[in-house]
Amino acid sequence: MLLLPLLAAPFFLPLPQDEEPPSFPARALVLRVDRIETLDGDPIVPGVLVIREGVIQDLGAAVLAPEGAEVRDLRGTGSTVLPPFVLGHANFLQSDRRGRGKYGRRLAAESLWLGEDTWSELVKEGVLLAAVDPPGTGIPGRTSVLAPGEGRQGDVVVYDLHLKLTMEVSSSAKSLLRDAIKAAEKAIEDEEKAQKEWQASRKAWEEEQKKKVEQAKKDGGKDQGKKSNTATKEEEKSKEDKEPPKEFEPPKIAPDLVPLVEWLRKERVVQVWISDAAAWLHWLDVLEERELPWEAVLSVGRTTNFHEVTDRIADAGVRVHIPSRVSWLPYTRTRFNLVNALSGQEVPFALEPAGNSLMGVKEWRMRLAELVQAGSDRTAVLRAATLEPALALGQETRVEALKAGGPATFMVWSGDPLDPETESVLAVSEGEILFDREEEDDE
Amino acid sequence: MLFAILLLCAQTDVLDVGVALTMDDRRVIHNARILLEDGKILAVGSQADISLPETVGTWWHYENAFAFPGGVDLHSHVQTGSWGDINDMVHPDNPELRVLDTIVPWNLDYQDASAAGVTTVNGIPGSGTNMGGAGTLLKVKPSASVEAVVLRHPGSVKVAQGYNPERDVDLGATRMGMWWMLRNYLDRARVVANSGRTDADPELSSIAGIFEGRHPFLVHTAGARDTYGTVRMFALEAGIPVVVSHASFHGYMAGEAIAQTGASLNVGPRNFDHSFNKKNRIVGLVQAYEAAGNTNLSVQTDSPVIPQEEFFFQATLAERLGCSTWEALEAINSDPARQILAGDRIGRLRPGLDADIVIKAGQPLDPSTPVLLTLVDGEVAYDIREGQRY
Repeated sequence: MLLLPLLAAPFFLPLPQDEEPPSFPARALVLRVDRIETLDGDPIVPGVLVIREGVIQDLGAAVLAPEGAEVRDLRGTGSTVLPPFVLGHANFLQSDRRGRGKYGRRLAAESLWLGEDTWSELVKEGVLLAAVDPPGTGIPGRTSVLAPGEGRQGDVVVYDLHLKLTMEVSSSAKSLLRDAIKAAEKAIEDEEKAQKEWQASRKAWEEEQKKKVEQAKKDGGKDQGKKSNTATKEEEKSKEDKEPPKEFEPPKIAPDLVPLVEWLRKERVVQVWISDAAAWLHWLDVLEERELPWEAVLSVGRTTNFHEVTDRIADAGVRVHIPSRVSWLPYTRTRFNLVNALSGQEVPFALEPAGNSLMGVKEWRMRLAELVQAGSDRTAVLRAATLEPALALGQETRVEALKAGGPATFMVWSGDPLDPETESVLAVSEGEILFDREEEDDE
Repeated sequence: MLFAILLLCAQTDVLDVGVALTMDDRRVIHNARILLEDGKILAVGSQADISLPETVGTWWHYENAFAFPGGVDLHSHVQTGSWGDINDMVHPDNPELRVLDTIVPWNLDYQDASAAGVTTVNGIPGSGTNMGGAGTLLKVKPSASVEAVVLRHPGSVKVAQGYNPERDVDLGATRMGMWWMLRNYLDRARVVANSGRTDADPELSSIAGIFEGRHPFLVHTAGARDTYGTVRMFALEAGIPVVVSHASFHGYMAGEAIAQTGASLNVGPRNFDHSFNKKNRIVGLVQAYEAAGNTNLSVQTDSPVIPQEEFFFQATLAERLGCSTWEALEAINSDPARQILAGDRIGRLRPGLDADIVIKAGQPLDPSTPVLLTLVDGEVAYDIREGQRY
């Protein structure tokens, strides 16, 4: 009888306070596919991906599946793994209206309107990250970045990213930007001036206080009654010599001007929307000799004249965002592939759908294929629709070239993503399966 | 003398390709050989089955490419090289008008189209009036002569049902008026056709030709009511050939009823809907019509609404939005050729038909590969080696 409580005793003993419960590695998911387009080097054909705890633990042509892993064998179906598409300017996700003006305080996230199924449709199209610009022209405000998540609009990953400016060929548009930049510079000057004044007044006050202390020491022990009268007068005087604040309090800057000030201080990137070659030159004119962080969003239509300034664009050394389309040169039927012209000069570029709509996104892969038909490098085009816009949004650790140790964020396609017959099979974000066609087909 | 005899002997051109999509009963031939003579297809088969002719003219080798029939776009307005001269809107109905006199052969739009594999277009009037006039079926090939490019005139007679032709001031302000006028013309044209004096009445001759089965109506229509209404008026009531063009917006919601009639649907230029379905989701129109049981489907550009050279791209998008690959392939050549009543001339790679052949580095719907060579009536209309135009 005595034996039973003795055997049971260890089960009732409390665990030592500093001993953590044992942790077990999460079960790995192994995908065997026909092709992995890592977008960094040659594709892996066929390939294996091992995913655990949101990370690509391993990938290659011959990778062993860890013990107990869930294995999905998609070989023989044309399955192709690719980093997800990223929309740099998904402005169909907001529905606000605003004209030209200075609205620097505005955030795109304030203007979002997504349909009930918008994100699920985007995910099916391979989009796992989307930036939205505020509506309007001139200085419309600041961009926000979204990812699929709870609720209609998903997760706002970044509320306040770049400042959007627009440069059109009109004197008023140019004046607006120029005046705003001057106002921001004036604000900076005013602040610097105020700081200097504060420093000077603070110094003067501190020296005055020092003198008073020294004087008080010299006068020590003399006529108390006389001193008492003098002290009263000095107290009154000191009230007049009010102590300046211990910390500098900068003058208030108008909220619409704040992001411009931040830009001039190189604390923020500007994305300037440029309508044509002339607008590019006008923008350089507005910019003058200032060396500031900026990128350009080029409005390229069926006809474009950006060929006039490709050298200037290359000289600027900034990233450009381009719609995925082949255009005509003005007044001709000569096709012009701006992507080729810019990539030939090693200009970093990000691509976006030619149509700013959900249908534009659905068309996008086909438009990318057209660029390849028009001579663009296939890998460069795919990088420009995936990795490059992610980099522009500061999300390069969320969407990057596929590698061991990198985030398990990618798409699995049923074939070549540039083939119209191809559809998405799996959407994976940091190891989480957001879309699974197998499950959808079952439904 | 011997030289003269040699000249009289017909020369046969030979085209060897990796894959021929004949679009004739969906027959696919690998390592194919096509013989061409006098602008016609003489033979189509595998290189193992077709030996070289004694006298070989041009011998094209495209072992890594596809050959298929040239594109046939039934809804195009760029016969003048732009939007021009397509709407004469004084009268609500204008069956006596024709685009034939306005055609600018081998205009810039057509040159782009040729570089994209389009070999035949139905150049038609606009939709500004209830009946815009007679269109012309014409070949897209280098020529300064209108006569040399006309495949058939009239190609079709253009009707516009609803929306665009609605007029504020006279008969035709509503569908009641427009459709009464159309039935009135049909009744009168039937009488003329039955009289055997079709050409005697210029106003009705082109419509009477439809009753004789020489060409169809091509009807601009959209929405479920009007799309089915077009089928009812022309195909079911009048029993005449009609191509139901656009069939857009929510026309596909009448898809099952239309499928029972076997109507000819010419879908585009907008090839999707997201407004009318309950879920506000994007629905591919060709896919929706196909899912409802329709197999008589073609795509179109309504050029210049969609650039003429993006005709194949319209089928690419149809496939992208879910229609079957074969349906999308047939929608650019064999189906539109049959719909416009020219299936005995164009639309398939078959002996006796016009040698309108496209050679492409990839399959027709692959947007990443260019057209390498376009032949029309056996002559080179476009060759990428002279510079890639599209």
